[in-house]
Amino acid sequence: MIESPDQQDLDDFAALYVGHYEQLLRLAVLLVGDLAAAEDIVQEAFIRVHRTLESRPLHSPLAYLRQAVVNLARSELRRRLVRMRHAPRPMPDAASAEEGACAAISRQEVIVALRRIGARQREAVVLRYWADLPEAEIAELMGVSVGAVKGYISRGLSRLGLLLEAS
Amino acid sequence: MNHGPAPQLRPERLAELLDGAVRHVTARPDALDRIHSGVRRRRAVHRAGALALTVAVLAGGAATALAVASGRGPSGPGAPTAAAARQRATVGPTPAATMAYDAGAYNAGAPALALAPGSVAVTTVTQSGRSGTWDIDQATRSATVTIVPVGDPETTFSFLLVVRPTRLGTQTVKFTATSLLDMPPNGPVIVGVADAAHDGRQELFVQVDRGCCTEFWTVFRLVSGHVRQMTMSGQPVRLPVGGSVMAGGGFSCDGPDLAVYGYQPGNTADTFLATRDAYRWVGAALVLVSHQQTTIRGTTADPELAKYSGVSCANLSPAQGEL
Repeated sequence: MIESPDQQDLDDFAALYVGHYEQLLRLAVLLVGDLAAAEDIVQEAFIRVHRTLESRPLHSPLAYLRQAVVNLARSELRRRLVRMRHAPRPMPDAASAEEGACAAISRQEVIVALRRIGARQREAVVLRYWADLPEAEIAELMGVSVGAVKGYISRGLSRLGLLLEAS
Repeated sequence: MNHGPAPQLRPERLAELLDGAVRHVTARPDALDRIHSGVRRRRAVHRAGALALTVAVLAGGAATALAVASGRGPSGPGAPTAAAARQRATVGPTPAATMAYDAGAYNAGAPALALAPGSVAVTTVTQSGRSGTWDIDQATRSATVTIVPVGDPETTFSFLLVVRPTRLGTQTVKFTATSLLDMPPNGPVIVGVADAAHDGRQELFVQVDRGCCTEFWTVFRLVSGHVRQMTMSGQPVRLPVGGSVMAGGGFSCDGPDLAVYGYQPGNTADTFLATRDAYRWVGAALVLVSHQQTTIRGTTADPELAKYSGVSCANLSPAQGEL
């Protein structure tokens, strides 16, 4: 899914954008479940890389971007949780937050199912089966052990299986 | 109640479902611009205070410093997020930071995507092809200039000129050129630089199309610190260079204006219609200031015709022979 980085291309920010923006956007959509937030996350990640590259070279800009996307997705989900806790109860006929341009994505069964599993399980499953990253790399990205990654993946698969069957 | 064993979701099936869910997700056309907008805003925040005076000195213009220092750039405790950049991008195309740094900019050309506070000069390019180096301040600093295809590198007509100065950030200009498949082996080619406008800075010439006998070059120029593609009548510049037996073209930057000339068969068998247009360098635009047309009677070997073909501009020469 996400291709191995071509080091020569990654020396160049534009090449980084051209080569990886869309895949990272898709990764973010899978992690947070809606397009608008995903766009903000990936743009923010690219802005950070751009700023960093101005001051120092990055050994692997793509890995840096992935890490930024995963971290920003976690922050976004945390913010959502806080907003949900403190938001006023909507009127019965109020449109849900998912309505709009990204509604089609949000309504997809697999996206809905992903939302309903644990955040760590979601990250591990998406990085393993969509981004096609090896477990060791996922562990590094998530800041956990390889064993923990295996556990997240196993439990995530089972839970997704149940949810998708039920839907 | 017995739920039985959990249903097994095959990893391959999950990968298909995940891929199917996001396969149609694509980048917005302005995504790169928005990223750069965010970068610009943050840079402005960083520099707005301490660098206002520096910018004034570098740019030699009090208006620039006033624009930055007076809060036309973003203010507040935190740097704006990509969300802010996105929101602003939908409102209008003139970011505050750009206004501040680009107070003297002209209107034409593709958007320049990074800031270069202060006056920047370009002196040399050291190689032709898809990348080269570009000295930007007549001293020790040099920028790498690279042409990056957007999309399928074999077939795309869309390219980015990436200018990566060592200190001033990355600048990216979108431009159109014939694809690599149509112009093998290199697609667009950096021909070289020359101080064609005679202002102490040099312009970058890029071959964007090539037929059997004629090349077309476009020109990039630094305008108020931004790299821009030059335009003629609102369109990206395409200078014809070379030609066949019966027609030819070229340009000269020997005079103060850019002379673009060419010839083609006239109304009778032994005549040629020759034209010479003079364009003035005005920011990122080449503005037509005179048009001359003359009929030359003679054969293709007539030396008079040779004056209407080829390039006379510093060390620039057609790239065709190098390919």
